Amino acid sequence: MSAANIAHTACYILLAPLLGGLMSGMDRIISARMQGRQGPPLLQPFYDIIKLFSKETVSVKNIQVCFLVSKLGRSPWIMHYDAASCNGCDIEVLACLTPVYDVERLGVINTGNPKHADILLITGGVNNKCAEVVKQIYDQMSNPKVVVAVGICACNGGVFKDAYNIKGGVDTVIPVDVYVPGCAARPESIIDGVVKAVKVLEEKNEKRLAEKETE
Amino acid sequence: MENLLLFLILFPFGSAVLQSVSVNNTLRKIVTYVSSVAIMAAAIVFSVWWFANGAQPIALLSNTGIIDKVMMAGEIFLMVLVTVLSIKHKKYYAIVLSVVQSVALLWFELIGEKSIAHFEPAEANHLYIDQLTVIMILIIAVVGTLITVYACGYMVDYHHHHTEFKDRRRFFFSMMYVFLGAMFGLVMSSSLTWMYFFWEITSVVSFLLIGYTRTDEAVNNSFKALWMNLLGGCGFCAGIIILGFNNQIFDLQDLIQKSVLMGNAAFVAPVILLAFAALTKSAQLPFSKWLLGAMVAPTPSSALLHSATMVKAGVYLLLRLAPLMENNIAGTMVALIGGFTFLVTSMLAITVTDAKKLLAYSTISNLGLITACAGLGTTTTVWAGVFLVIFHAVSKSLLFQNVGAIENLTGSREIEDMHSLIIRFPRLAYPLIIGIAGMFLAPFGMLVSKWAALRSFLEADDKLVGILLVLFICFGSATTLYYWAKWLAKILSYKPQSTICTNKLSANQHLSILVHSFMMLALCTVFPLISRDIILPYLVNVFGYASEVISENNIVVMIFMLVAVFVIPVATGIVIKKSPPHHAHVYMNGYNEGDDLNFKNSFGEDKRIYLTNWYMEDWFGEKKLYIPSAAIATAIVVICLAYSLGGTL
Repeated sequence: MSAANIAHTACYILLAPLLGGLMSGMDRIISARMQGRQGPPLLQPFYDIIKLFSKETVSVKNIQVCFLVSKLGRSPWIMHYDAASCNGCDIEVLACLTPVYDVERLGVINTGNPKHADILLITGGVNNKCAEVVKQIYDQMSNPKVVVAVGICACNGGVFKDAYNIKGGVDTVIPVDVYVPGCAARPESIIDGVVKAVKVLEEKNEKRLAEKETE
Repeated sequence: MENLLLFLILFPFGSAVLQSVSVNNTLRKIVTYVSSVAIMAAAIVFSVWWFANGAQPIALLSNTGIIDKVMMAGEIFLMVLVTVLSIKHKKYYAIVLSVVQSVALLWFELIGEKSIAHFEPAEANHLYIDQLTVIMILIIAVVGTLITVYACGYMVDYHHHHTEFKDRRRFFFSMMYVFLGAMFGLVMSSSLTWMYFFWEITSVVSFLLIGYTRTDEAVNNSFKALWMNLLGGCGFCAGIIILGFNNQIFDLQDLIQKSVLMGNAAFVAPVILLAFAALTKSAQLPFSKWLLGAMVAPTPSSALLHSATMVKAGVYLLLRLAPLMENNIAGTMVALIGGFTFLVTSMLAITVTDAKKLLAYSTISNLGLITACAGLGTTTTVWAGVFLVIFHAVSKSLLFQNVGAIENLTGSREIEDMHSLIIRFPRLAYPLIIGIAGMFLAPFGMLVSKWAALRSFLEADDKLVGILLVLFICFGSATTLYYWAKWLAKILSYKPQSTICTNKLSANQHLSILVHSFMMLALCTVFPLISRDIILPYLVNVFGYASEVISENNIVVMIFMLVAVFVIPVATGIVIKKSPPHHAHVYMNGYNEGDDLNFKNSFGEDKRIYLTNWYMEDWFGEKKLYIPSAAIATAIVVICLAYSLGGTL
């Protein structure tokens, strides 16, 4: 086993993940272009990985610890929760993923698992039944995390404010960082809200790191 | 030092006698421990001595008049035993098969041989030792005896749980030792009649072991094993007689050397008969049912029969015959049956929920791969085949022992009941993970051999067979990955509120399992050395040439991978220690009620979660697949046999 051999192998092992990441990024761009979207940046997989390593670890059991989801802002993954919405805002959130708006170019992925998410996007006011669920999902997300209330109902209850079952806006249950008004909220304003949320996310992260250092 | 070989053959029979008179468990333990240590030590000392002295093939025992007579007596005894038991259980077909072959062979040995021109009796050497033999000796000595050690603890628990069965442990242990002795004899024999004798012992003893519990099911399955193996024995016997009369060959090494000199075309008919015998022994389709039925036996006998011994006898013979099967109809038959079995049984394994049955299917499937490798008969495929034999023996034995221990501890061997084993019983879960990883994950040996096999299938001379085999191995590997990964996930998955299992695993079971796990890991790291120092010289001996199958660069990559397998979990552990994780509830489709098991859905109803594997019974079910594939395999065997025998007889 010569030195050249070992160097060769080491190069192989180091370069393979890089190449893999680039290929994955390329793949995402190509599939986005095929759908008529712009797609994420080429380096998106690396942004995702970097974020993954700088987030807090969430586990359900010690033995199953896994790294979860920073430059944080480059890879904001979203968890979309429909509280007591009329589904108008939900349609608009989904519209953000379509070719016209294409939020994936900002690195956004709509995940189905709170443990992977950075941004909790909630539509609709909170009623008594879903209040606990909202709390739980918020708790299941790993720090740092940001909550965006989409639509007027999520902001303060909207027209349902006085309904017997509605508690009010999302901020009656969990702290909200960004309010996106509208009925229904326009995709442009939702994207604007996400961009604002990204800034909040980065601020929170810096704060968290600073706290860690002082400890 | 050569005497050690005779010791290895004879000593297990001696311990078998001792076992049969060991009246209580303490005595049994002592006999087992002492014999195991003696056998292992003899095998290891011999192999070290042999390698240290240049690893030249040894031929032994040329003059064996008396031993031959003893063996004849043994054959008659086996025939009588089979006859008596068959009459007792009213399964008369077994008598026919047994009597036909025994009488034919006795006639051949006593009368037929003398009529053959130029025959000079007692010239050939009856034992022959080369690298392949030594590998087999080591496998049998180490894996086989460890299984008997494991059995000491296991059988106590077994009879504790199954009070309905009669305690016949003395018989059980003595049969296991007879089996080991017969296996040593089989792999060392070069004389075909000797090999046949040991072959018959393994058939009959496996029949006795499978019928251990004496329930109706066990008896039926044991007779199934018996008739299939006896049918193979008939093929073996016919092969010996044809070789004797047509080619004046009585000796396996003689056969191999002549075929290298004269080309293998002259020997197709006897070789295909011997290969047929090997296919039955290795439980290839259409003879797979006996191995599945053999799962009714207590686990140590399953482990012994299906990892290190019985089924390995078949593939051992095939690997020996590999040079005789290159590019002819015998090779085509063996390769096709092997590849086809690999694919079909790995698909069947998907639907299985019983861990032991899954192991049975995966055993057949891996043997199919080895068979296919032997059938192509090139140096690369034989290289892959030998490695598959080594890795399969260790990891399968480990898996069987684990499943047996889990069954005794938790009362179930269903895969669905093995959830979160990593929390409930880490001491068994880690070896189980090593065993499963050894079966399909990179960089463990099975995968390397599969890769080598795939490469050489692509280079096969017969393009049609080559392409078929490539398809078989591609789809077979995919399904293999699926059923192993499914099981692995079940062990690792966390079911809330699992608690550590308090039942104790007896020390001897634990010892055997631990030693196996370490052997598995060690094999993964030293396998380039095994390749360079043992298998390549063997290939040079047999084929006259051999090339490096796997390049050094690939090996370095694999070592890195192996290191990574250990580094990543450790690194994760360290990082976690540094910043303790924030505990959260499991995410469910609704409000988690706090115990991670129940949730309220959007209608406010209480729901309980249950995670289960997907078994795809409707697509790959045994009822759907088994009979058609057995029919196809039968057709291949019948056509190839008819074609080659019709041409020569």
